[in-house]
Amino acid sequence: MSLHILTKRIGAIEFGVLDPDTIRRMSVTAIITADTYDEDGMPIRSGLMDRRLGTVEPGVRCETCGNPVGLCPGHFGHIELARPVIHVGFVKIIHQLLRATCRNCGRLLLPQSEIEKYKERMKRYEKRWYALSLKLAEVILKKAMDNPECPHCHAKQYKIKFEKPTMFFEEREEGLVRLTPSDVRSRLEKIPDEDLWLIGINPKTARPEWFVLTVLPVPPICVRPSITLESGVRSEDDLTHKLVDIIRINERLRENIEAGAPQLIIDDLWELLQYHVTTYFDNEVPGIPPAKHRSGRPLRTLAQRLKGKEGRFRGNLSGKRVDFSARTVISPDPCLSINEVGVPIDVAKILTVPERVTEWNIEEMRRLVINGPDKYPGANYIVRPDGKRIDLRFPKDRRTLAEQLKPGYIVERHLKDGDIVLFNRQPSLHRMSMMAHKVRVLPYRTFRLNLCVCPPYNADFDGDEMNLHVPQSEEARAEARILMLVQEHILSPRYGGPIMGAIHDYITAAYLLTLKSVLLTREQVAQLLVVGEYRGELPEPAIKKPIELWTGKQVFSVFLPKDMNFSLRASICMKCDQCLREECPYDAYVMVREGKLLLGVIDKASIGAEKTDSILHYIVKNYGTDKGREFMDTCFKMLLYFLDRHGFTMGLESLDIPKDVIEEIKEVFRKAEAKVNALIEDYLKGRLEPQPGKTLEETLEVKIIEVLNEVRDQAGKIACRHMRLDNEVLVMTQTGARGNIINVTQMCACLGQQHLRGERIHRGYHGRPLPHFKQGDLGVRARGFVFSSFKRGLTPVEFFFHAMTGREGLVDTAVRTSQSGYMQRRLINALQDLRVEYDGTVRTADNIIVQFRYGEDGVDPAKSYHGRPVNLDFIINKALEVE
Amino acid sequence: MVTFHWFKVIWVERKLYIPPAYQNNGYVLGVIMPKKFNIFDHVLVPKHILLSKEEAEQVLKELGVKPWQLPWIKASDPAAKALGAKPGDIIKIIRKSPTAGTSVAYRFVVPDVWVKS
Repeated sequence: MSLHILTKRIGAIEFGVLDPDTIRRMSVTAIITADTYDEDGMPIRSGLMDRRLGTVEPGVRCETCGNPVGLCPGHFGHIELARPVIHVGFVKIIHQLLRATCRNCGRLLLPQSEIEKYKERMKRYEKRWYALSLKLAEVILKKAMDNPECPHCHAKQYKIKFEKPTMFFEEREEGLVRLTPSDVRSRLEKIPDEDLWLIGINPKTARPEWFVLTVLPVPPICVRPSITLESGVRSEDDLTHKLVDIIRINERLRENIEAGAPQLIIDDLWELLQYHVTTYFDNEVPGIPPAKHRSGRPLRTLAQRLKGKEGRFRGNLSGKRVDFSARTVISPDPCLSINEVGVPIDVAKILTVPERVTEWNIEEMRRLVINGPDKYPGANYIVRPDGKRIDLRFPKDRRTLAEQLKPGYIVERHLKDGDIVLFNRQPSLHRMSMMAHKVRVLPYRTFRLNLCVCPPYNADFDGDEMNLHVPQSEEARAEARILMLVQEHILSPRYGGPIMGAIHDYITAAYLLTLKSVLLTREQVAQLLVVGEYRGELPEPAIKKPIELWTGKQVFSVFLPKDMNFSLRASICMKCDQCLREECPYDAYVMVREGKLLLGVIDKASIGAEKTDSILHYIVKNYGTDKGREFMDTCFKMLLYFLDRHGFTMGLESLDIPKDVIEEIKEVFRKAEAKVNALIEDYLKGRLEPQPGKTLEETLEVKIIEVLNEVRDQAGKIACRHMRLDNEVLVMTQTGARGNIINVTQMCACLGQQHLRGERIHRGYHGRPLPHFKQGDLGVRARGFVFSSFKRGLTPVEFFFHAMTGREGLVDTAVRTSQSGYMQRRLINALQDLRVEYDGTVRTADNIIVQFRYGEDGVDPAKSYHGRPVNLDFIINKALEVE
Repeated sequence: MVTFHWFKVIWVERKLYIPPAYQNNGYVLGVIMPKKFNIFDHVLVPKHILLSKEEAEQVLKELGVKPWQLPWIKASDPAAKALGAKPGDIIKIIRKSPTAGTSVAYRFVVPDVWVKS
């Protein structure tokens, strides 16, 4: 194939309607026979499979253009309809035209003076305000519709009734009179060109009478290819079936007309023809039954081919199926770098990268070719300089093929370590859903990834699958490596901070390591640093005698940049009224000076994912993404190793609370219940004052909910207060590793009020949610308050209430995902080709300005500090440092 | 500059406000007489400036656009009317912005089809 160089650009595209003459002119033959093949299996001439319509069989040249399969574009035929038929796609505009024009003279139903006036305006608008001229046309059409009398010929106008999908009636004095497609066509013919121009129809490209078909174009065979099944049976395309129906009825109609059959029979056949033509265009028109295949499956006709998710636009033009991709289950591997992805060896043997043979790699390439497609570092294909592909699966002596290799050959070799690939998890909601990774070929059958890249992909390992794509060109690989590599996406435009970072166990481990009480021996420190790939000198031990001991903070500091100065408040910070900073009793004031963690405990606020202004954020921003990646690869691996050695288990006893505390909580419950009962008493006695804007009942509910919400908080606080600080549950919630106070409360104190649609549960039976209660019981228990905790277990009634809220949650998420998915689709469709120009403006594809400065301030959110262009704290700290 | 005259009416509803049933459901308690009202005095209305022909050309040249590629503003927009802008003019709008302090935008005045001519 030769390369065609584009010398012309498309200036404009105009859409119009085919007129009958054009249809006849572009047709190579009229189609008259409904049969497709004769007994010998040869296509019948002037049948639907006529050879002149183009070839689909390989080796046969087209009778019309003489080209073989790949080059013959296909040629249209046509069917002369015995009677005109309305095109369903145009019924709406036909209806409007019938209503807006005179049934007698065809003029627009507006007085001449008004027409002149609009003509003037139209002329003006078309020159300068094209979009407005379209709107004006709409206005004119609306105004002309349903005028009872023609201002030109003074003919009386009747109301036009439209019956779905293609019938028109006139409401005359004598009753409803049907307008046949012929009547409709003759009326549309009468509309003068100047009037059409006023209502936004260009008479040169779309005369309204063309909306009523007299000839039907027959698409070429390549549009509706027949399939030969394995059994040798020919199966025709749905469109061919439909066209057969049309021809059959059309011929019958013609014969009946010629034989002078009664009007009734002709009308019936005419209507049948209309039905077939209608379903040929669109088989999902409301108002008529869809045309069915013999098996009962609805036919997939023209409109169905284009519409919807699997249609031509969304399924084949906006989205495509691809080669060089793989999909399998994912699993975690903390030993990989965040930039890497573990690829199963079976996958690596199928996916290939084309590599050009050069003087320098020819030996290597020969070895790959000799290994062939089944032995791992091998190759699947060779492409010779003349473009011929050699499949390495079949030849026995790959050695000779390897000998023939010369610079200029291309070897499609197996994926190997270090190749760049794209890795993706659906739904692809943001740009971090598809990032470039470096391949690590590993045994077993899953893709493996570092845990830090879970947040951007929103992945977990409960059976998630991910996709992998192999870029095939040098340019694509270069772009992927520079723009899409994982480390370039540590900082996200979503948060203005790192979206990757420590999660779950990493955070717990960091906390446990950097506690003030941690002292490690030489062996332990050495072990940790080896795991963290540290190859330098050991730091000076914090304690020298009687044995050398290092603190956990010292070990952590090894991985920090040597000149780093930083301070922040940890996640465990109690938010005291007066911050003691360095003196913090909880060690929550984190201070790094000259690359040494002097104070404070490391937790989510320092290294967590999706946390801004953290140590991790600072490192990535100030020392670059390379340093950030290194920190996450080395330090985080060390943290997990530490946790492995340290041990960390949350058991049932982590939720134990002393007996007297349970009593204390029960006392809170008793008081709250009494308070609610008092409120109900007030309400029943009529002593309750309604709040402004609320009924008495609403007031009561609000007050009760207020009391009950406080109960759970109080119970949780009491429970937590009596837990030891080294309690595993508290460690996880306080450091931000997993869970929150509400989870703890629900596990060991009480579940609290169950809500349905934001109210206490009250639906179900008459005046009560369950038959275990009296009607009209407004009490705490009868409206879904759960006193039990998960640890103690729920009573049957409580369990039922809890199940109700649980179900509501599930339904809500299902509804939300579908709704937000649709919203996302529409937003992306609307915004996809906006771009930021070099001058800072945001423009559309045709240079229409949307914003004069991106986001008004021109700040790239990925390079911002949580949306703010600069972080003053950092700057002040830097300045103080210099001093 | 054109100034607007507004009548302020205090309207009291007898029932819950249901749009089609508002007739005869309320009383006019009193009418506050017309007061001179300049829309640009309102805090929420940003500053609008009508550009001269030379200024407009300068702006278009800087941005490298045809007038229709700017955002549009209807000639019937209260602010455009108050400035006396005609279709074809360009208005400069200076807004307060929470992120950037102030932000400048330009709008192209277009005719309104729905206006009765």
